[in-house]
Amino acid sequence: MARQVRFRNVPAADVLERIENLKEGQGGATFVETLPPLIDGQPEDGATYTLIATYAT
Amino acid sequence: MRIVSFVAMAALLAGCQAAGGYPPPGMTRPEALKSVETDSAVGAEAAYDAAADPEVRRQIRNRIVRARLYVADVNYNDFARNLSTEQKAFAVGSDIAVLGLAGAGTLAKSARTATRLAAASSGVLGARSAIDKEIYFDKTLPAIVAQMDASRRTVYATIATGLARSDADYSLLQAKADLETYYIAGTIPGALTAITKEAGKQSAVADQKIERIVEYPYSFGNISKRILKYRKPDDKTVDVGHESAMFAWLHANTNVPTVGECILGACTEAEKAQMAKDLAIP
Repeated sequence: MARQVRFRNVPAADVLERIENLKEGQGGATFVETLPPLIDGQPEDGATYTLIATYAT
Repeated sequence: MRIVSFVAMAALLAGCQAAGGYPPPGMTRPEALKSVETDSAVGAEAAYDAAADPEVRRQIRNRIVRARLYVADVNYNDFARNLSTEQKAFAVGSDIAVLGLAGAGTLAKSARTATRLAAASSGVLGARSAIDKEIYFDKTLPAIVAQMDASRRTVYATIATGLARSDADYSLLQAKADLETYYIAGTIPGALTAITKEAGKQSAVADQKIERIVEYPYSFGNISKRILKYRKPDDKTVDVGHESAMFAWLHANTNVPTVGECILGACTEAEKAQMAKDLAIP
């Protein structure tokens, strides 16, 4: 079983660092994906994203 | 001159066909169907109905079913060949040719510039639509054909198992019903139905695994930056002591389970400020 937390309207410039922030630390996310998906692992300048973090429960 | 160019371009595109990717079959379709005509025909069932011996009935049943499987395979392979690149290239070329000729007709009937532009415009837009359809078809066709192949193999396994059984356990009537399913499995509507069913199953499984979903607007201001700095003083490594202190504070004062969620927006600004105050976060 898992739970999912979504953060809307994350600016492209913040995306990669926030993905790391969600994964690291105590009880960190097991998996973080974005909507729209990143192309070649990089956000597109000027776009905003939804981060979807999945946590084991 | 423009009309000639327009038509010539359209004809060129219409004739632009790629190789289909299939070698010629050993027999033509009519030859293949002819080779099993006796056993696949409706009349073959009379011998089955007339036979009293179970073993004879089983043999006749198997001969009829195998012949009809072969007919289904020949027809399916012919169908799959026609879905190949050559067919698609022709379809797009034809679309473009029709649009080109229609546009040329409009140009020939009127000398007005506006009409010419409108015709050229509709030709370009139409060609774009045809190419979009082609790209879409090109991307989805392999998945549809793969599903048809997989579904046919599944039904074939049922039929092959049935043919090993006695006539009492697997009658010709049952086999005919399975043959009909075998046919449906090799159609585009059948494949789309199978794909939709599978997607629905996977979605249900995924939904069961995620027990709770919550959503927040992203909020990362100055207090979040201070908390993040406290968490990673050197900007690289999480300070375990600071992390544990914040983790304990969250569990004592909020419903937010982790620090990462809190700093991105799961905590309110007031909660973040209170945590910063209580833990003396600089």
